[in-house]
Amino acid sequence: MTEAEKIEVRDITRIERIGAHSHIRGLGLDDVLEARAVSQGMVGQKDARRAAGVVVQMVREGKIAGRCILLAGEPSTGKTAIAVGMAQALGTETPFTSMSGSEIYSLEMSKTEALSQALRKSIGVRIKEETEIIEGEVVEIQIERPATGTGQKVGKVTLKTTEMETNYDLGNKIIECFMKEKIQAGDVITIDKASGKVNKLGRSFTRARDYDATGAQTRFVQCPEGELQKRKEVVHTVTLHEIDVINSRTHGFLALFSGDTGEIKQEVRDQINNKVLEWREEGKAEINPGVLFIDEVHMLDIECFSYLNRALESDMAPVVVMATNRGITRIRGTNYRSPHGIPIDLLDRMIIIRTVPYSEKEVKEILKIRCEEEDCVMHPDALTILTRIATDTSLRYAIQLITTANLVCRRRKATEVNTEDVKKVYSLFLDENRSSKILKEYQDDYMFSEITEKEEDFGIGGGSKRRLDIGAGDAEAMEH
Amino acid sequence: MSNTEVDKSIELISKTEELADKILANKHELTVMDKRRQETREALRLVEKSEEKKAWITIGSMLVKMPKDKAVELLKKDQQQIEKEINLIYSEQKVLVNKHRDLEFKSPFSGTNIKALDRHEFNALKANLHL
Repeated sequence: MTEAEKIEVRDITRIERIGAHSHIRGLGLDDVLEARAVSQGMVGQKDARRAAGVVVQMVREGKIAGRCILLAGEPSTGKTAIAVGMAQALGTETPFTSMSGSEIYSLEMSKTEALSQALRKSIGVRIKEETEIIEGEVVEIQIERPATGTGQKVGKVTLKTTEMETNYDLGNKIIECFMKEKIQAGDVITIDKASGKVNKLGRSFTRARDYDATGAQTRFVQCPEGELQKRKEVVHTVTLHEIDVINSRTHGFLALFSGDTGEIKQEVRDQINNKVLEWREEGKAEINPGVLFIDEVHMLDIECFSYLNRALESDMAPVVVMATNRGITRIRGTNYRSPHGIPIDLLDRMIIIRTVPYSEKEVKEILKIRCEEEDCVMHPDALTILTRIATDTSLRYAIQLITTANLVCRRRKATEVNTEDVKKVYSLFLDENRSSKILKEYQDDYMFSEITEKEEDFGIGGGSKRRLDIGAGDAEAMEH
Repeated sequence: MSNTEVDKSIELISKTEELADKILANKHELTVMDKRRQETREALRLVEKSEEKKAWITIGSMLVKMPKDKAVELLKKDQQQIEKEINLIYSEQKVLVNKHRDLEFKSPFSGTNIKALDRHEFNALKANLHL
């Protein structure tokens, strides 16, 4: 339909974590938040997707702050995929920050600083910029230079749109702007009324045939419509972290790009909070809490969890979505065991969404979508074999086989991957089970291998038992 | 489709079309007002630049000769009037567009209720961020 003035909304840079989820375009829900079987790159997992849809709705309404959601499920059940789907569903307006639990252990800043930065990167502030601009096509420019060489230039410019035309008397300064931009008749320009800046948008289409050859930079635009003097309103969303960074260093914007923000003092943060709240009172800004997604949340330790408990109680806190595949695990930093490696008091504040392993049909659909995403044409029999491999071993292993099988097939100059290719790559690349079996058989031949009969390896990564225990504890895979 | 559903659809469509018509009419009105604004500005400049003590000026469809300062005063009053009317149309437009979106079950466009930041505040932000 129509808009009174051009209302633009700027987007925020988003951090994408894994390329393995690039096929996901959204949560695949319909208007009543019911999950479709295969939609927008998501397959199956209907309950979890519906729950995620409710969360997205909550965030969109913006009235709920500081909620905590946990996505818990076996490995390869789509937890990160749902988070990516939520990010896409929220759109570009809402800040979505994605991080992994181990990312907070950086040498440059303390854990709580890393967490507060991540939290503040997920809180957006909407502000509006209003300008009056004059936008039109130049019909003619007349500039008179005084004969004596010194003295002011005077000039006149005639601007037009499709519906009206008018002329302006120009003063010395703005004539210099015109001459700097090399504006001539036929150019479409905008003049900012408040600052006096002149900007060339391009050349008008009607003047495209004036010359036989134009420079490489010449852009052609349509003659503007409507009124000459327009009011332009642009709505921007900035995150609190960006404002923090500007105020904590003199050359703030460089820090934003290089990522080296260091520690930001709490006084600076308090000042910023006060200023933003003041703007909110005056109606000049709207606070837009977004989503902070923490993957592998069992890597956070007890200090971080205690910090989060408190941080979530602020009225500007974002919605925190966590994901983990651990069962009853030791909480890092303590000797206590607890579900998912998260203290019970934090678990109490969370709503938990369960993801279940995929059925064979769903696995086949997912593999089909990945084949499309990775540009690989597969014969249906090959797809069936791949599905069987996926259910026997793991979904991730089967996805890895897609591109490798594609390469093998291209080597024999064919376009379609068939069962031979899949069998070949299956024999070339081992999955986790086969690899551990081989390890047990030939353990004496490997260096430093000290597997004894009674110590069994659990879930995540078999192999030599002699690995440094960095406080990972006894990690058990999630069991039903 | 039963009768009531047809009736409801017709009612919905007629309401949205009515609003849309008003919005488009306002848009046209803005162009007309801007034309008047520019013409008044041009007239003001010419009158102020002219050397004679009296100026010819059209009021309605009459051509009248009057002392320069009176003419300038009239033109300035006109300008203020036009500015006020343009501001009125702008605020009306925002309300109408939001009403239209509401009828189509869309949420009001973001940033509806925010007042614009002062120029110096915004320039400070713009200088440091990639706005």
